[in-house]
Amino acid sequence: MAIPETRYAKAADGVHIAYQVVGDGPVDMVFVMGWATNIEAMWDEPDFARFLRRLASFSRLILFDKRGLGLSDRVPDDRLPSLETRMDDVRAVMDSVASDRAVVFGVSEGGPMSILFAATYPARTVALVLYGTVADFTARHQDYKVDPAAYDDWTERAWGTEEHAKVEIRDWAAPGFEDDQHLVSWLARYLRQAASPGAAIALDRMNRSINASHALASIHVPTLVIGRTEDRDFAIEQVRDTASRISGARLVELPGGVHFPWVGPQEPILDEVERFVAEFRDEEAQLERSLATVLFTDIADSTRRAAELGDRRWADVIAAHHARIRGQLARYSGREIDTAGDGFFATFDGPARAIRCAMASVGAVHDLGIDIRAGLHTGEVETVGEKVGGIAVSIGARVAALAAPGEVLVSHTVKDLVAGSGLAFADAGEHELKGVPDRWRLYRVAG
Amino acid sequence: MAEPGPIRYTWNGAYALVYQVTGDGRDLIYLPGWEQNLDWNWTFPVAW
Repeated sequence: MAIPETRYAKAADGVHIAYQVVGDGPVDMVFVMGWATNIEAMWDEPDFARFLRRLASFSRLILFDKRGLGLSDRVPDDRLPSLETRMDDVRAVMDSVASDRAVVFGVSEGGPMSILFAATYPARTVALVLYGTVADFTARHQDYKVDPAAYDDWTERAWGTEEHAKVEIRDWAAPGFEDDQHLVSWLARYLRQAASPGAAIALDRMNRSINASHALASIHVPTLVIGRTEDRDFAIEQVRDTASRISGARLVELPGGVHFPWVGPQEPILDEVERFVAEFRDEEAQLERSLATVLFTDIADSTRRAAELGDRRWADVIAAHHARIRGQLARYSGREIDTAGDGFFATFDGPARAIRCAMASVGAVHDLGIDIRAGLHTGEVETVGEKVGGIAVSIGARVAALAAPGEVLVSHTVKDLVAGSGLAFADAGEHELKGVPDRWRLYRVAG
Repeated sequence: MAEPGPIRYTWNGAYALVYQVTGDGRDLIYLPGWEQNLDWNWTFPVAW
């Protein structure tokens, strides 16, 4: 079977990220493979190819090589990507293939960046799947590499040889398969095609200091964590610890000590992933989706004003601000969803009413000695109980963040929808919205 | 015809350089132009 064509996405800083898309399932899945990778050489290993094909049978599977590795642009060894840069690279790839939301499947060293992605971009993460990985790489017990310097030295001496591949397979990657000559030859060649020796050493050094534990509590997407009980690369106790700190995560423990997920019995892993994806797709189908205009407001310079006024007087100002905004929401039939700190998040059925409410709110709080900024966007939102989510909500929040004090800023979507309403707009230029694909033309409401 | 030799690395300062030795005649250093990849060179049957 032909392997998918490799394409390149361009990250914000101009670095090219190689990716492939395979399958046309109903949900996008970004496969974040650990260690050094090469998305073309993956397909040369029949069991690895079978593993990927199975994932692609129920998803649109997106593969990529991290910058500095595989088919992506080389970067200097001292500039291998941080977790944040790797996340940005995933977003660049998703943007290139028009993937608004995807299941993020992090394997092994791909785990921490997947954790951080799910925590940072919930609107773009359908669900998180972790296999053979933990959040904190600084606390790993890897008895096969007790001495990091010796391991680096070994990498420097042996990287790319069959001897090296065989030892890595025996010690942690797939113990018991070290005499599988096909696997040994493939791994040696795969690693050569994935990283140069210098890059391999630099990657390993960097990985020793990775810790994404702080992000675990911020994950609010469905999460599946799979570990093999005898895995020597990531001890099951630590896998359990990672799973226990993600709200609602499902932990599945499978027997055996083979770390590479496609070596040995791969079906139990794939069955778990497929079942998990199917389950939350059913849940998602029950979400209420509707078109709404979202309004975000925020008090400009609030930290400075609070310091000037002191806690008690500031609390009075906040109380008055809340009361006046709520008054405007009532007047214009807005639905208050949340107040975060000193801002409001509300939804409206109609965009023109939402804009008028925002304008009225700006005016209503002015004599309190404060200015608010307001941003609006119209799009499909998902309602679960009292909560409202979806990428349209993220866009609204990002638009509001760009507004100047006293300003009401709207996306081009909102402007286009209110044509004929008598509202006037001034072009506020094109902007990147953090965590959202494409560039967005924004407009200032001129009254 | 000689089988391709193993692919090895040597270090020049901070940089690892990849090389391959094939055959046992007099030493001949082959310096190809443009992009190349030692692993892939052998997968195309006609010499460039």
